[in-house]
Amino acid sequence: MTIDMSQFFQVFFDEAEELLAEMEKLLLGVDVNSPDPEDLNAIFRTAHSIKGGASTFGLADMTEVTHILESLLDKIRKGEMALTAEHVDAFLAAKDILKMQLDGHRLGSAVDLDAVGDVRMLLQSFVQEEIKAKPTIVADLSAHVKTHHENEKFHHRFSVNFSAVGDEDLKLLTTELSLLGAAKSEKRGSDSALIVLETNGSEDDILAVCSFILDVDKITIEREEIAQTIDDSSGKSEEELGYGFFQPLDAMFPPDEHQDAQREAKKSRGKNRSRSISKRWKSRCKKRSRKTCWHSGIKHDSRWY
Amino acid sequence: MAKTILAVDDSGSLRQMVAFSLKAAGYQVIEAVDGQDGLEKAKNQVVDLVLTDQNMPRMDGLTLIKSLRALPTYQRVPILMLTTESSDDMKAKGRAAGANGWLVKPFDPQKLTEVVKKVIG
Repeated sequence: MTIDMSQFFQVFFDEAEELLAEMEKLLLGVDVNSPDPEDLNAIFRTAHSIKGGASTFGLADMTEVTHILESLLDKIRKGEMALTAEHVDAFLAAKDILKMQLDGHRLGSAVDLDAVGDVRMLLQSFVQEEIKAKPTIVADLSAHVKTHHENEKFHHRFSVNFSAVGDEDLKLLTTELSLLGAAKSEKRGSDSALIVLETNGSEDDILAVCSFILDVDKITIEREEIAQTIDDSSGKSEEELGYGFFQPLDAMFPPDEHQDAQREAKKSRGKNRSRSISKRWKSRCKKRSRKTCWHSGIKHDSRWY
Repeated sequence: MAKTILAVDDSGSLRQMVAFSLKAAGYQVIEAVDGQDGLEKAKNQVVDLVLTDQNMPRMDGLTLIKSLRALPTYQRVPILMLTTESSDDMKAKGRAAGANGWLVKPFDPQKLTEVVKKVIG
């Protein structure tokens, strides 16, 4: 049965409106010099919830903005990045953009795409500044950049070729693309380079990331598929299925020996009771000269008498 | 008798979608707005399956799972995490807390129903 997701849009729109208002209130009240961890968690949750709903209901534009916002907020709440007044201003600008996008979906009002692009670039710039502030993150051009994708299974491998790219830009590109998966960079010639990226993202995702650093006409992309381990009888991997279990379903809850023993004991008592009842009823039926036992419905055996 | 599912998520729109989809598939659904609410409702009625989001106010998903597994009545009730990521770290934490599996967001009603049927029929 196909369910029309648009019936849930209004609830999401109302919910997102409330979350954006809460985000604004928390951002305006946060102490940049000594932020309350609970406030940071709460701000993160607003972005996280909006992103969850936007992606579930297919609102890609809001998903993209909240994705970057959520990533930055996650770093800040975990102490990996310090909160600054500039961050707060950028987050408030992102909130305004999300409100505009929300109204666009709900009311059909115009969305200023240039403004959206500007805010995305602003948020991305915080990511890049964080990378520049920690140059040890990318020390070697030929080294793998390890991210939290380390143990993730990927479906696609892209060879991303860059022409007219400097060392600094290549470092940024490598680290940015590492957000999408596992990236390995290699210098080719004086101003050309290759990044091999294993990811579950798409070519569009790669171009979206690179376009902040380099002109897209300096980028060529080739793609190949990566063979997956089959974990499911349907022939698809867990990543493709989008779900998984920690044990096989039939072994999820092994038989409880104590309960089984109790059940068996109960059954046995039941049988014995039936036999003794049968004897009693036979005796009564005999006394009443019934041809058929009214208890069991069984015709009487002449041997009973 | 229809099986009962406890759906725990702080997003009203997502809860509504989950409840609508599963009711259409013949299940009964109890909704909870966060981990604390989920725990209280779970204590009031033992369900056949728990679906829980992770990032929630008052009590997050992992804490809810641990709390449910501490209840004698929830030792053998399947619990699935609704999560936005499927990293090994998330899986390890979920498994350690007592979850039986995960479903990655975003998911559509058909996939949700398919997974639930696999687990509780």
